[in-house]
Amino acid sequence: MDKSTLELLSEAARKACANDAAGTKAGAAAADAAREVYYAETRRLGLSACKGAIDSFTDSRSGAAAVRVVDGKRMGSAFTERIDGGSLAAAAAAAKSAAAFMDTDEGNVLYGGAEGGLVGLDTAWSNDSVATATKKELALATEKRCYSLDRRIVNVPTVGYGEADSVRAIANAQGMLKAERHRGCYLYAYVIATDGDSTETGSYGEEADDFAALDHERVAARAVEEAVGKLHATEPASGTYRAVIKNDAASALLGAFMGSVSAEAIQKGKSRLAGKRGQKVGSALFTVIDDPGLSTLRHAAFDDEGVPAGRLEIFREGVFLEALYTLYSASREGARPNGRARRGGATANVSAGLINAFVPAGKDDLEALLSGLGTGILITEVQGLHAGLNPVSGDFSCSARGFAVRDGKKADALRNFTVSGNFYDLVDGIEARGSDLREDLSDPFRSPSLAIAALSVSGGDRA
Amino acid sequence: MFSSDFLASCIKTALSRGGDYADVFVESGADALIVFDDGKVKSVSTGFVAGVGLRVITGRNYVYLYASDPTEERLRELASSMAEAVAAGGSGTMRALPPSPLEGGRHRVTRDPAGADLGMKIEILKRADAAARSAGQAISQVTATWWEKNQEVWVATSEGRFAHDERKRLRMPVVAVASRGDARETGQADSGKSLGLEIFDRYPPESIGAEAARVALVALDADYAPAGKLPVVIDKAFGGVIFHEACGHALEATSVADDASVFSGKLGQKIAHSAVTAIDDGTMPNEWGSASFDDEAHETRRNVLIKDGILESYLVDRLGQAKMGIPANGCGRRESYRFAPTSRMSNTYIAPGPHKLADLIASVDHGIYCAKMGGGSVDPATTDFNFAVREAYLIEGGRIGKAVKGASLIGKGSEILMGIEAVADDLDVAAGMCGSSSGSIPTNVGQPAILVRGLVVGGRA
Repeated sequence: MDKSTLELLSEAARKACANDAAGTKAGAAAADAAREVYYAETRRLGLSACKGAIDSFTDSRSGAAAVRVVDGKRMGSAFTERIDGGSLAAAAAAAKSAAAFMDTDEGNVLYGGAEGGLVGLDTAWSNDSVATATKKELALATEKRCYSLDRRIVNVPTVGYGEADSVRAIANAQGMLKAERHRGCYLYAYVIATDGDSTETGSYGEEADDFAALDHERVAARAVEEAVGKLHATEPASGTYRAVIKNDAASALLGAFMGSVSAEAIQKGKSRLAGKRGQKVGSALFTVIDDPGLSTLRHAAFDDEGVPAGRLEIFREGVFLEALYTLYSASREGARPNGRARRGGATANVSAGLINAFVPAGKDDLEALLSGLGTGILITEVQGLHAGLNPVSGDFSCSARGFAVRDGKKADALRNFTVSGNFYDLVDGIEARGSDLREDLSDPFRSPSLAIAALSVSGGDRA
Repeated sequence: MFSSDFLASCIKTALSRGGDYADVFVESGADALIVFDDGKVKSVSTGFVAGVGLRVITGRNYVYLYASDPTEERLRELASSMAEAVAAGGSGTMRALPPSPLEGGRHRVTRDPAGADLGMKIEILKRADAAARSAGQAISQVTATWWEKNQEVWVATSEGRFAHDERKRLRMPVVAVASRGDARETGQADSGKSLGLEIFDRYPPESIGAEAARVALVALDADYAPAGKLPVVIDKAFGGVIFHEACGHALEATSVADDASVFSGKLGQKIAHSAVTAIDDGTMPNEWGSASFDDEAHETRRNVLIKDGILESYLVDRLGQAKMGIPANGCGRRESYRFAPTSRMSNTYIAPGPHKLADLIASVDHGIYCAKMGGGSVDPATTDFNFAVREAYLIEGGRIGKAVKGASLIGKGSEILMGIEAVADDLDVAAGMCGSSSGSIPTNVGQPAILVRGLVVGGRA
């Protein structure tokens, strides 16, 4: 983001459009209301390797600005992908016009702070000094590594490298101007393993602050390990099993229910956590902390409404402590906003979300958890979470992969089964936490492996 | 909009150092999103989308550059950057473009929502909300959303194609929450077409709201579904998500061309039960997944994918054509200029068979009747798929029994296609959003009711 864009946003927010440089009638119509301008821009580079060549290369720069206007407890918003004074003025006018059709709501407020804060805007990024050719070589080396690790790897359809350098900025009529820069890159491999009549896929990706931190040998090894480990899998018998849910699967499954800690969902009866604050809803081993200051990759000094974002304890030892607030939900409840307003870019609406949340690691490694399990099932993957769960009731039923566990050790690979249950029963049934907190920071929620008292499995005929 | 000459000069620049083929995609549009939630207008948001994407294909590889806020200067920069990025080689030349683009317009709307009164749109949401709330005291919350997209695209290619298409889509999903004590269940209903306000003549807002509430109330009184392999009757319309996931994605050139599909190299072979004929048809008038042209300036087509169980065709985009040597068949699609196009489904359905829904149910001794389905996903390399069931009932002794909830259905597409034993005669389609490497796009799924054996029902053990 260049300085002129920052100045443009600040100007647009402060003076809005009453007599601004664009001098449009539309701008004049947007005067006399509280307003906020949010801007996000991203420069992306992406490439993929297949069959020993770079088969796709993408480079882009895109941005959008959104204006929110509050006029008498009514809020309207509009975005534009054209960034100039006239387009911002037109967006402000459209937002004000939309506000006139809104119902009044105590929740319709904007952040009134006037503080500034520019985080990381002018710092150099080591990735910029890495030649594109080197990035291509990394993808090609990863592909080659995948093939070399196991003769059963018959195809590596995709090895992807990508990087993004993004800036989000927010300004209001009071003079607040905050901006924060995020940079990250990732390496991903998707492989197919075949042995006889069994074909399976494996994938693994990791995200890092800079190019040097990506480990292509680890990415290849984990993708290959996943694919070949699943070969010749059999169906488990339907039944209720003691289980260990491996860190990746536990992160996905528990993370899918984190919408339930949104204060707005609770206020509107869309979460079973309504009326449960201060009450025990899970096992004493269920703790969730959201700490935006812990890593640079998922750092956030302020949320997408400009509210400072600090560390939150959402669940502590099974007790539900704090919900995620936007200004809307905080204002409706008379609560203090806690900086968890998120938006997926300027073209998306604001909603509450986690920033960098995790279930703290325990003491036992995965082998020790399996040993403690004795006989049961190890769940390594869950799929279809976008559809196979009901965030309101907490029920889930989704496709899974895993391994039988016998005599405390990982045994046969398992396929074609589902796991089902209820989120609240699941977290109440946590018997142990692994020491293997998921390292990859690409998602805002991470968990270590978890030992669970009972998990319903649907597969073949009952044993 | 840019002139034909200007676009041709950009493509020429892009191909100046190498490349076999180039295209430019220019997009502008206006979106409107209105959320009516908790008995109030929660948010009204409008937006202006503008961007451009430039692509060059060389052999099996491509380079894609895009930018928002398109100006002549920016597009010129992209073309120059493209010439730098494209490796030497390739035989692409620029064929002359017509002075003006071929016009789409095969799916015109009669009452354009763009620019229509906002208050009227909110009234429609209120009618849906009121109908849902009046369906029962247990209905505790309703969210109705107005999703309006007006997309205008211009596509020019080095092969001399130049097309302009205007796509207007309107959808109103309604979600109702039913509560009793600590129990909470949701129901969803939807409409979505390439139509304007006339969509509500076909789907009155009240019927959408009432349907969402009905599904939530059914779930509130339902027991958990059983676990294990059971015969399943999947009802018409959104039930077609089974074909979309179990087979459709694995027929896209995106995975077929890289030998990453279980159906690679199987043209002419039997891959499904002989009761199955499946079609992808981007020309269906005013349907959710329809368009006049795809995003590579090919006219959309009706492609028969499977005929009586035999694989007849893949879905092939321009890159797939380069990789597979099979001509593109009008299915190159993308969410927006932020994505390079790839082969995608449009309106995909299983063709009607000879049976009645009642016959299918009567033929099952112990199984599940899935009246409404949710979304799903698939791994095209293995065709392991999953999808959610939103409304279901036990079948006992050939009759529909009590309602059950909380199930998903899973299986392997290559096996399940053989397990579709009977197809009813009541074809219908329903709107959904489909995610893949070129983003989230509107697609219809569809089918008549079908009877399938071999699926795992992911209920409670």
